[in-house]
Formats: sequence, structure tokens, C-alpha cells
Amino acid sequence: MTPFKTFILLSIILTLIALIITYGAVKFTSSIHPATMITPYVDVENTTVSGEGLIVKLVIINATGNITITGGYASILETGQSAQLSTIGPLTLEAKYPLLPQYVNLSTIGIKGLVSGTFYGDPMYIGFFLVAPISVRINTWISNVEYSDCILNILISYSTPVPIMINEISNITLVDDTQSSYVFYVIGNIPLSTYITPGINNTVITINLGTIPNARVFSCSLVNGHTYTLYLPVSVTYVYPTINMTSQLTLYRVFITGG
Amino acid sequence: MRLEVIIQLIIALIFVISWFLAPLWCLRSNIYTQELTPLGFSITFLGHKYFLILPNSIAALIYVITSALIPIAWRNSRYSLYLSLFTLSLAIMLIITVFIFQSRYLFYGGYSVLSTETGYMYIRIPYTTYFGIPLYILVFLIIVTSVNAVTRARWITVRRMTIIEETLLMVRSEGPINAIRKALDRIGIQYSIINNALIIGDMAITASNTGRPEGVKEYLSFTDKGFIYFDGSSITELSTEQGIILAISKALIKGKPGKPLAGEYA
Repeated sequence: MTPFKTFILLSIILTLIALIITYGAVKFTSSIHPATMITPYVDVENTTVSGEGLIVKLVIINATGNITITGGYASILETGQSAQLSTIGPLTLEAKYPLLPQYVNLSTIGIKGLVSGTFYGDPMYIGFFLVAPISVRINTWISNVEYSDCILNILISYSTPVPIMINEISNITLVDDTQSSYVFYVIGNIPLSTYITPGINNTVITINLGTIPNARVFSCSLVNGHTYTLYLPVSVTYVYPTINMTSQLTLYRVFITGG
Repeated sequence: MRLEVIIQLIIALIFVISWFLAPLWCLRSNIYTQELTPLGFSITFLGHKYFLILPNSIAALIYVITSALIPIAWRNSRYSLYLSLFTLSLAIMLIITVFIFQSRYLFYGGYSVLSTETGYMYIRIPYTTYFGIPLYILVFLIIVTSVNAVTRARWITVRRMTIIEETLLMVRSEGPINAIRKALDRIGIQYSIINNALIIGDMAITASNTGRPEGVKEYLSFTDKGFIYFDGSSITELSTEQGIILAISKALIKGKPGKPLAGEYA
């Protein structure tokens, strides 16, 4: 066999081996597995309603590896409010929203947004959509009534996240249920300006019926053992950060004197 | 064996060793690396190591070694050098298929969008790729192999010494008789040694201190000062150098030279 023929023969053999190996390499792709990674995600730690407003605390869960959180934003779908997220811990973020009247009607809110940070030194963003329960309630009730010497002391208890103004009392009436008779009634309004700060607290409204011209007073004191009912229609203004909302509220209390 | 072919083999071996020490190609980012080793891809992801064995890569390594060994094993034709270059180009093809494989099955874009329980996660991880030292050695190997194929492994201009030159050099260290004996071995002339004299047919090559062997017509004797040639009737005095040349040429006539030396990669 001449060297040239040997050369041609060996070249063909080597080329065929290379082709078979290249084809075999593609078959080896079955040994490639997609890598799995525990992905960190954002969840609500809690939502609180206080005088400062609605505070949403978010926490990063499954934060394995070298993750740092730098900030981001979160918006509330129901109200359209958006706020920057501030870091309050290595994996905890917080956003504050001023209270709006809509919150009173809501039991859950949808929060969506983006948390930015770094993952092993490189930029990272975690988007999220969360549903969180909230409870914004304004409660006002009469917890005690005292009446003597024609002076009425009403202890009003309240629990509110927003300031409330009690503007006026209209047609206040105290009825002796035992005798089915009025103790007093007032026709018309008594202007008032009681400011209630946010929180859970009490305030006392004192009305001297002797000085009110439209009052019809039948008795200046209560009889022990009788059941009385106080009707207290009031006009209140809820002072939200962006808007003032005035509404009429009828408070009443049934009580027995002398226990 | 020609020096050029040995240089080719040495560079091939350096390439093979260096590839085991350093990756030929490398992709690096903060959380993910890919390294092309002779046995396949070494992949690290978030501290987890994974090794993907690649037949192409292993075959490329074997082809490079084969390419350098072909001219060593097959010396009598220039086609061995051509086959060596062809095999090396196949090795490069195989390395290119490794890169095609990487871009198809191990593609890494530098960012990821992952779904999470409450949304998604987007990470952007810039990466850099670079070629390692073995690639540059491989480029050098391609150049040397190509030059070998084109010049038939005759690009080093420093030629080897001829047999005469080597013999003349050896006279100083080993004496004239031993030097001639080794030259005769290489040329392939049969001789016999009697009393430290080389006998070739009816001719004897002796040193001066040994006696003149019997039954020879001609004898060549190296003395302390020079060289004496006795052709049966007359004596000629020559220098040692002339004596060596005469002794070898006479031996070629008197002796029976073996097969003529084949030229390498002719």
C-alpha cells in the first residue's frame, strides 16, 4: 500500500470516529439536569393600623445565600396608594400609608410591588402580589351617663385610628323607661367641639341643661332603681389625612341608676 | 528522528498537561461558572459542583496526542506529516463542536426570571468569558504542525553532523579505532575485531601499538603523530583526519554496506 493510500484510509477512519463521537455527544445531553434553586419570596409579616396610618411589614422568606435587601416599593390596589419600602431589618421591610375612608370598609387589601436588593453582589428584584387582612374600625359608644343638678356628664369611649371631631348634638333625649316619661329633651342642636385623638380612650361631654334655652327639663336628678335611655344623635367629622368626612351617628344607652 | 517532530510532540504534551491544569475556556459570574476541561465541563452553581463528561472533549485530547505521535511512528513518508496535520485539525473541529454544544445546551444568558410562591424573582448576573493558556498553546501547536507538514519537518536550518564529522569529533574522546568502529556500525559495514584491529576483508585498521595482523594485504595504522597507509607495496603518510576519511572510504569499498539509509519524511 502506498503512503498516499494509507493517508487517505487513515483520514477517513479518523473522520468517521470524530463524527460518531460528535453524534454521541448530543446523546449525552440527557445527562444535563436543570439546576433547582430555592427561590426567596416576599410575604406579609403583619399589617397594623395606628395613628401613624397603615403600616405593612413585609419579610423575605427562604432567603438562602447571600441576599441583601436595599428597598423597593409596594402599592395597595384598593386605594392606589404607593409607598417606598424601607428596610427595618436584614430581611424585613416596611411601608406606611396614610389612612383613607375606604379602609373602613375593607377586610383585606391587595399589595403588589417590587423588592430590590443584591444576590451575591449582583442586582436582584423580587416581585410580589400579596393579600393581607386589615381591620380599620371606628367605634364610638357611651360607656357611662351621670345626671344630677341638671348637669349631664356623658362618658364617651372610642377606638379610632383617625381623629374625630364631635361637632354638635341634636335632639338629645333622656327617657325614664320605668315611668314612661321624659327626664328632659332638647329641641335643636347643641353646638359642641370635642376633638378626639386617635387611639382607644374616653372623653367626657358635660352639658348643663339649665343653660340651654331649647331644653325641656322635667327633672334635675335621677331616681334610684329606674331604667333610663339616653338618645344621643351626634354629628361627627372623621379627619382623614386627605379628606374630612362628616356623618350622623345615633348613640344611645340604656342604664339603671343606683345599680 | 527529526528535531522538528520532537518539538511538535513536546508542544503537544505541554498542551495536554496544561489543559489538565487550566481550563481551555471559562465562563465566570458571581454564582455560576463553567470551565472546559479535557474531560468535559466543570460547572459550579451556588457552591454546588457538577461535572458534565463530554466525549468531544475527551476525543479532542486523544486526537491531539495521536496527531503528535503519528510522525514518530510513521517516518518514511511525508504523508505521515500530512496525516498529523489532518488529525490535529479534526481535534480542533471537535473542540469547536464542544463550543456549539455549550451554546446550545449550556447557554447562560446572565439573567434569570424565576417564579416564586408570591410572585417572581429576577436576577441579573453579569458574566465574563475568557480563553485559557491551553488554547494559546494549541494555536502554537497548529503553527508548528503546519510548518512541519509544509517543510517536511525541515525548518530548523542547523543541520545534523555528518557521519564523518561525528567520527572526527569522536577520535579525540574515544580514539580512532573506536570512532571508526561506531561509524561502520551506523553505515552498516560488517567487520571483525582481532587484537584490537578492525578487519574488513583483506584490510586491517590498527592503532600503532598493536601488531600488524596476519593475512591482510592492506593495512591502515594510526600512530601517535599521524597515520600510515600500506597498500601492499608502498607506504603513504597522512594526517589523522585524512586517515579517518580514507579508512571509512576504504571500508565502504572493501566491506559490504547494508541497506542504504532511508530519508525521513521523503
